[in-house]
Amino acid sequence: MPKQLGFHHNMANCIGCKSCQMACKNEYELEAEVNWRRVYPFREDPGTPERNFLSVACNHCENPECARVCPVGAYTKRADGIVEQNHDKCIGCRLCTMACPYGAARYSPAHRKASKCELCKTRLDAGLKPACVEACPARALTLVDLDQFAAPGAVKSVPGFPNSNITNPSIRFTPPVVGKQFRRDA
Amino acid sequence: MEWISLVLFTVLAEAAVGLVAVYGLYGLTAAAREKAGAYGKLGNAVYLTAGCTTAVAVVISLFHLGWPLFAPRVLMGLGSSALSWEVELTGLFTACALFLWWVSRSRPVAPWLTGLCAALGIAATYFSGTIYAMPSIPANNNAFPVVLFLISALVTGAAILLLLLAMTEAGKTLAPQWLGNLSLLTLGGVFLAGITTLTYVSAAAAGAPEAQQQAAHISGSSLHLIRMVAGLLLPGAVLAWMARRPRNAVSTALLVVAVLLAGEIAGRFLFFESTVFTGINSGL
Repeated sequence: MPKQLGFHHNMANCIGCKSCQMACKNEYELEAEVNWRRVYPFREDPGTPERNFLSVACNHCENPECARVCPVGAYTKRADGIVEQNHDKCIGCRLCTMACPYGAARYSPAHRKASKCELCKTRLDAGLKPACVEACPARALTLVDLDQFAAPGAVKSVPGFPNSNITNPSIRFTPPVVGKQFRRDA
Repeated sequence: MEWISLVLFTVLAEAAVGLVAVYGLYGLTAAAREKAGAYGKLGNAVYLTAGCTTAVAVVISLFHLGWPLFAPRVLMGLGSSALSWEVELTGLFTACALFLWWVSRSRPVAPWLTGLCAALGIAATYFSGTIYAMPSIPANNNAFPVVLFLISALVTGAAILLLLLAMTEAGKTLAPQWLGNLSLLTLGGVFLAGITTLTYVSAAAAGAPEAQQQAAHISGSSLHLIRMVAGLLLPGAVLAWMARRPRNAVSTALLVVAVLLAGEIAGRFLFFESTVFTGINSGL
């Protein structure tokens, strides 16, 4: 049965604490300049007072650009949809870092190679959750199988997110909820 | 300085491709048939220049890689990667140019071999441009990178052939018939390069928000000014003068080659450096 693992980011729950980003860095001991997961401030409407956030890593796309452009065939897609990178094959040409619309592949000046989130495949194989998902205190980030995922209100894209038609990314969002403001009458 | 090796590789390789292609094209002229011996001897200098330039360019390109010693692995990616095609075809072009140089030392090179060598180089330039036509770079996700690279090959290649006309004995024999129209051809290429660059920037300015930001970055850059004025207007003026009053002087041809290459390097550096990728909530 086909399977496509991906992330569901519930932006209504996300408080922008960057625990997911830190958990990823700690799990893989990434250097200071390399972040496989990044949390961006999300401002759909600068006029509203809410602070919302977007947490993005590799989206394990259906049609990954990294795999298309890589000249050494370092990127492959597993049966469960994870786009994995054979780090030993990488020659550090940086083409994947240019081609990914989400900036998922990051170049490490120390290792002189590119690397990216592999959805904690070894943790998954051991029956654990991805480090970022486990670290999220607000339960804003979850691992889902997109072939069975059907959350009400979930969407494929949010404003500011690159056109999802390019690679068909395996991420779904629950957009932030505009809060109700209570004001004292003048 | 992240881009300098890619800038030098692409500009030098394109100049070499353009040189062989324009030389091959001029093989169809009446002067080349009338002075077949001189045309063949000029070919010797053309193939040597092209082969050595591309070989140097390939070595420079290795400095872009994190692990240059593993560069041969790129030959395995022909299934989907334009970079693999670029490297493979550039390697074949270099080998072909050096082989033709070796052949041309003792006997004339068959025109179809020159055509084959030029075709390999043009194909390499095509794939070189295709690499940067990515959906993640909205301003470049079109035919412009390929067109810009091909025009760059034409302009720089034709200019180097002008220089070889002035520097070699065979070139001096052919110069009376070739100098005027080769200057005109180069001038046409310079004009085309200017129009295409302006069209590229204008199209980006009318495109996606990321492309608009890239266009603003390009048009506001001093490198853009250097390319348009020193790299296109100045050589354009010299070439127009050469076309009007043909004079086969090394100094003039050298000036044209130097300013054109400097302009191409400035423009190519800007091409890489100004890239604006698809924004993830970056206010675009």
